[in-house]
Amino acid sequence: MKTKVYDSTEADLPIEGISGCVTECADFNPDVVLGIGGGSCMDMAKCVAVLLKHGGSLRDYYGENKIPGPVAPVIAVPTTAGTGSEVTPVAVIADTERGTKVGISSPYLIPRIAVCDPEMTLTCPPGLTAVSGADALTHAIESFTAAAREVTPDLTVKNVFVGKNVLSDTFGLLALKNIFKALRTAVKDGKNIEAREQMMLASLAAGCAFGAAGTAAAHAIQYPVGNETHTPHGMGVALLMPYVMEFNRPTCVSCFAEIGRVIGLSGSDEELSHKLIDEVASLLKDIGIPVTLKELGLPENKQDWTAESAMGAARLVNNNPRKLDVDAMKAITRAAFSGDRAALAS
Amino acid sequence: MLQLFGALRLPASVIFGSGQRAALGMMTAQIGSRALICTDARMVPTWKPMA
Repeated sequence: MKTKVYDSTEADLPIEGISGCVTECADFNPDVVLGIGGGSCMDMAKCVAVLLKHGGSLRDYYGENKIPGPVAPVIAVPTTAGTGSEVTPVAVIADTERGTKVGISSPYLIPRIAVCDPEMTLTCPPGLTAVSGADALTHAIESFTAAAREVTPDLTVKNVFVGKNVLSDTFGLLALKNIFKALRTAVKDGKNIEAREQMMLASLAAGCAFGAAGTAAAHAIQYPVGNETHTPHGMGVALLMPYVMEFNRPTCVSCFAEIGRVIGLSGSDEELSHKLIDEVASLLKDIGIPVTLKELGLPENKQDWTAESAMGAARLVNNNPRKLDVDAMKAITRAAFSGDRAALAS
Repeated sequence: MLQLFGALRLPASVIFGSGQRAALGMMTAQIGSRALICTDARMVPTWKPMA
């Protein structure tokens, strides 16, 4: 076995870094690619595997189902409990020229092997543990509450993400049960192996869930917010989650109640649907996630721009359980900017 | 009633558990002979190549 280590993977995965890695490793001619690290390292391995097999520029593969065929086998080994990239059909890269993050999604991007060893997360610092865990929480909630599609024979052929379904639901609930049990402890006491195990299981399960079902409004809004504020993805999606849940609640009463019961809450469906949002907000507050887009550094005059840009992520908008138009998106963004969740209550 | 529908798309193998990273060398050898390892500067100081 011959190995070559490429250790210059940068946070947020700028597109030049990926082509740089491919160029540097061309002579080595790898036949298997390991990604060991957080989301960026695993996504690096996934993107390199595409370029090794199909060549061209990553720009050729932006969007859904643009990769023409199988890629070099990838082995993904996460060292944070969050992105779930070890099992998902997605890679997110930064197109520095365009100044935006871009997603590539295709079943061919799914790693051949995922090895999730919770001991790999024992040295993950508290801030990164919080942001990663919050990302997993958002994956689990958005996939479990995703819109169910009309079931047709070509649903899974034409789409990478297919909406809420009975199989992804099982993984979503497994993730949520463990996140509410362990995330606070994992942030407070990083050496607690039991909490680290539960969080790594949770992020893996959340990845299994959203890799099929997809995510929704919180992810749509985070894209422009992240581009504007250069804040971590997990922080943005988590901050937005309670606001998006408040907007979605009328459509999601039974979904929220189901999650509420799994995490140990009790009451009627209606009561649980409110309690769950409070529980999510309180968990995020306890682990240090900011509460408003203002705190995140979004300029006040960029609120409507954020909402309009978020509408451009059509796949995510359509996956949201409650129908979204630009006015609804503006209402969510404004509420998240000022911290006024009650403004979305219905 | 809504009909049941399910979809999962996952890796061929998903392995979870403390200490399972020790299987990486053996697993890699089963599917290739020239392994490129993509990582970052944070991980390298602790990296020990496996047999």
